[in-house]
Amino acid sequence: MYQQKSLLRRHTAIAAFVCALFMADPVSAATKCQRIAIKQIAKFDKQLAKVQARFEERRNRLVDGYLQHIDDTDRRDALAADLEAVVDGFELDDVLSRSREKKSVLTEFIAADEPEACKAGDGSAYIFDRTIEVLGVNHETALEALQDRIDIETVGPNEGLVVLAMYIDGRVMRLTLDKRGSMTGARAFKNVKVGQFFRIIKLPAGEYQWTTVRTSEELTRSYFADRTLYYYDFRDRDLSFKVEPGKLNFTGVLMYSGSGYADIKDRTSIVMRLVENRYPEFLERYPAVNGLVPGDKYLDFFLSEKRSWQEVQQ
Amino acid sequence: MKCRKSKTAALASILIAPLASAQIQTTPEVETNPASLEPADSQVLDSISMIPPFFSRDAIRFVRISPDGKRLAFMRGSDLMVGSVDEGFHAVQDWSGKVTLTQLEWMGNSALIARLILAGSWSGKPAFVALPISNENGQLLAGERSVFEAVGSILDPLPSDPDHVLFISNDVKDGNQFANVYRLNPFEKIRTQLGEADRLNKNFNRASWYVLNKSKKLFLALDSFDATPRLYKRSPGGTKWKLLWQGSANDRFIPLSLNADDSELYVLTDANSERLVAAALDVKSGQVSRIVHSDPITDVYNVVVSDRSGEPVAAVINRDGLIDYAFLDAALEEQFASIRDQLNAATVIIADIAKSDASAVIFTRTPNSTGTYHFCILASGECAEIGEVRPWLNSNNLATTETLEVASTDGHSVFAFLTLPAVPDEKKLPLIVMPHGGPIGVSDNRHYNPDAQWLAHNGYAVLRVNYRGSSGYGKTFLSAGMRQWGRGIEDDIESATDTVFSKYDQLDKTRVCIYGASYGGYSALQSIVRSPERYQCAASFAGVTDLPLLFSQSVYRRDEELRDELVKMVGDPELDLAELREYSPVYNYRRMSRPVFLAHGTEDSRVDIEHSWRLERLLRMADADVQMHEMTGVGHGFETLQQIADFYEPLMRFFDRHLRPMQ
Repeated sequence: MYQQKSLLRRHTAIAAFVCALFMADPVSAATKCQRIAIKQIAKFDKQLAKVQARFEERRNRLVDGYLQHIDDTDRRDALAADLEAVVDGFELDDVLSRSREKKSVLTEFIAADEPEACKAGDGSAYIFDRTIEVLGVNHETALEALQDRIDIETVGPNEGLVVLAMYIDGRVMRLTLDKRGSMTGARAFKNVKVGQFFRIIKLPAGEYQWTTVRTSEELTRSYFADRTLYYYDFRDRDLSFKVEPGKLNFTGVLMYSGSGYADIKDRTSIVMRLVENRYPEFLERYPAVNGLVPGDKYLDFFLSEKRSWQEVQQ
Repeated sequence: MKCRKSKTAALASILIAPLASAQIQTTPEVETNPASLEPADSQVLDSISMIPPFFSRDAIRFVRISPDGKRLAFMRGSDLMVGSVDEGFHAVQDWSGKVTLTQLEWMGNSALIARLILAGSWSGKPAFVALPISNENGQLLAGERSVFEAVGSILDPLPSDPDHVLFISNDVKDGNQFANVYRLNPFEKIRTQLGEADRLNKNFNRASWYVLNKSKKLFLALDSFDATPRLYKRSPGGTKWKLLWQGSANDRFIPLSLNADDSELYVLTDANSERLVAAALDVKSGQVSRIVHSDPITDVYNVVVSDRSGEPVAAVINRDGLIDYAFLDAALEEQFASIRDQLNAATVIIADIAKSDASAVIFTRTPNSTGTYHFCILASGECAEIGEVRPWLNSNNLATTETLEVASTDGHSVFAFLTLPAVPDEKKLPLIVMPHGGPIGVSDNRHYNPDAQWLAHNGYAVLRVNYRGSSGYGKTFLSAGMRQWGRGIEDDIESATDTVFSKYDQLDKTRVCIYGASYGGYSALQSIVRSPERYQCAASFAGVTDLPLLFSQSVYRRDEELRDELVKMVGDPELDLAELREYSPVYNYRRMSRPVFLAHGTEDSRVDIEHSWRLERLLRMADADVQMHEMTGVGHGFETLQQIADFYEPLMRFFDRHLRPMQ
């Protein structure tokens, strides 16, 4: 958010300078501003509709394609709702509503025929472009999460389910998870948002390690920063976990700070709450293990105690 | 005065969360949020507004006497004060805001050098600032020059060379601490990096500390690789370092200073003794030539060495939980006695002494005051008050603390401290037992403790126990605390509790809660597992609840040495897993029949909040009486008065509910 504001300030400064030139002839300046703003809005509306439509189409294809293979109606309905929840989790509407606010302010100024319209329009083009860009990125992430959700419905003989949780404090363009002994990266997560990340994915059994982060100074640090790409390697920190086949593998919480620092904490109890809320059926279907600290007995203890209290209540 | 802070037990004491005893850098003002308090709790609101006077940092700090003994420099609030009793004290620098002073030294008689921690600093390193002091028409002024940013401290301000200081860095390589020493002119230029040209230990890279000879050259060097102290000597004018003395693993060896002709080194060591003693080591033979002072009960904490004669004049010891002196110089003892009588104080501490030995800064305390600094001429015994450390507290209302010696179940002597409210509002007082953190290598004392005073101010008696494993009482007592989580340590706490009930009729045995931070939090929780009949409630801040979970932290998974330390202290999670579970509150939650208060910071890097979450979840499943206070942005201790207020506000309600339900 801070970076967006910073960039906005930069554009504001440029726009103010341009407006100052226009102000030599106020009437003509207002007209020109109106024309520019109207063009921007029209272009934005068109692009937005196109991006949205493309996303809807891909999402529907993905969901419908999967659900049509499920015969059990109840199961299909439940799963459909669950898949939708994955998409909602990305708060796609929020990006749209923020851009609509900007658009409506601009529209009001145009309607009022104010010579100050230029100021209202400052940076709008940039905001609109960024909205389209961010929406596109979020769509990709949402589709990826949908695909993961679909994938975990079936688990192969040498595969395990992996509960991934992260706290991200800083922009992450690409976060890499490698499999030990494998030459290729096991999985890369693109454009991970600041805040909490939670997902269950499917991986072949083995030992895995969070290895690198790629980020950009441009959107993380300061007003004057350039678009230099930064690459942090934390292989020496041994941020590893094990995946056992046929099990629900808890892997701790990856903590990443924007300055390149990363650590894993065993926060099984808080991750358990997320699993219980979002994927209770997986706790029924698969034995849960702590892949971060394989010797830890807390999970077994907790689940056994939980069953015991449930029996008491019944 | 030449002395060095003890660096012992830094590694062992890994589970300490100071309650609020840490120095807080806020002025004594705090905003409470009345909207968050229920109307019926106006008493609690009044009470919480009293947090700042108890917990804010001292009004006067870092009192330093100039080498000629004529001027003083000290912090008063956020002002750096300079002056003398005759010319008055002038504020020469305002360090308000997010600046914390961590070291202040005189460079000669007309300049100071300060180490400052700047919150939000890009490098995160301390900044060193040189301040020339001038007198313009009777007004003292300070210039300011930022010298450099680096992790380390001023090794010697070189008072006889006012243009230079010796700086010692504090670096870590491959898990080992080592230091470099630089000779710098802080007035010459602002440095972004310490230059190799200024480094004095060019051909020796493994020492963590250096001792200077009378020519202010590096003469002795100490390393502690593999926890084994080794002392090296450099021949005068030479470049080669030779091993002079070597101790055994885990021996403590703290070099202090050399005598006048550089033939003896004064040290604190327990290499050949049960407790830390002050000794003189012959720097020719590498043998301990004499014991300067030893105490039959406690460690010797420091030695005051006269700069004038180079001889030790007093050993600093612990007597009944207070700092005291064993004088080695009859003249100083006489002067000290005269000052003690004149100031009518129970505790008299030498805070700083001039190089000439003519004058000193003296800190005094009476049993129910927080203390006062004085400037004293030693020969005449004349003293002038510099100021009280907590002038905003009414000394008459401060609680007094008494020392008890308790026989533990296995024959140890354990010292405990009972703080009783100055103005008790009940005939029978509720008691809060407050075990300290650690558990190894930490101890409580009888000096001002904000948490104990705060609780006593609210009508509670407070018992703090230096259980087995606490520092200051020797090797055997220290190691007796290893792997005694939930066992011997809690035996000692219970023995002390029984003793105070047998000696103090005014304590109500039916109204007792146990509360602590970090290990103290663990102890509180485990105590209601093992002895629920003793307590009405338990409260934990940053407490350990699951012993095997301690080993899950990546720092212990990566660092074998640290892990080994933790294994020694707690037990091995691979070999002793069943035992670790047996003494973990989490796996015993069904036996916790008393109300539980859990508070934990979300940013705690020592004991992760997962500890409290696990226990909370299980207790809630069991429908037990549990209250969880998640503190966003708080680490393993408190950094602001607001955090302390946010913590104590629900805790005081909790105590009131369970210890004073009728009020």
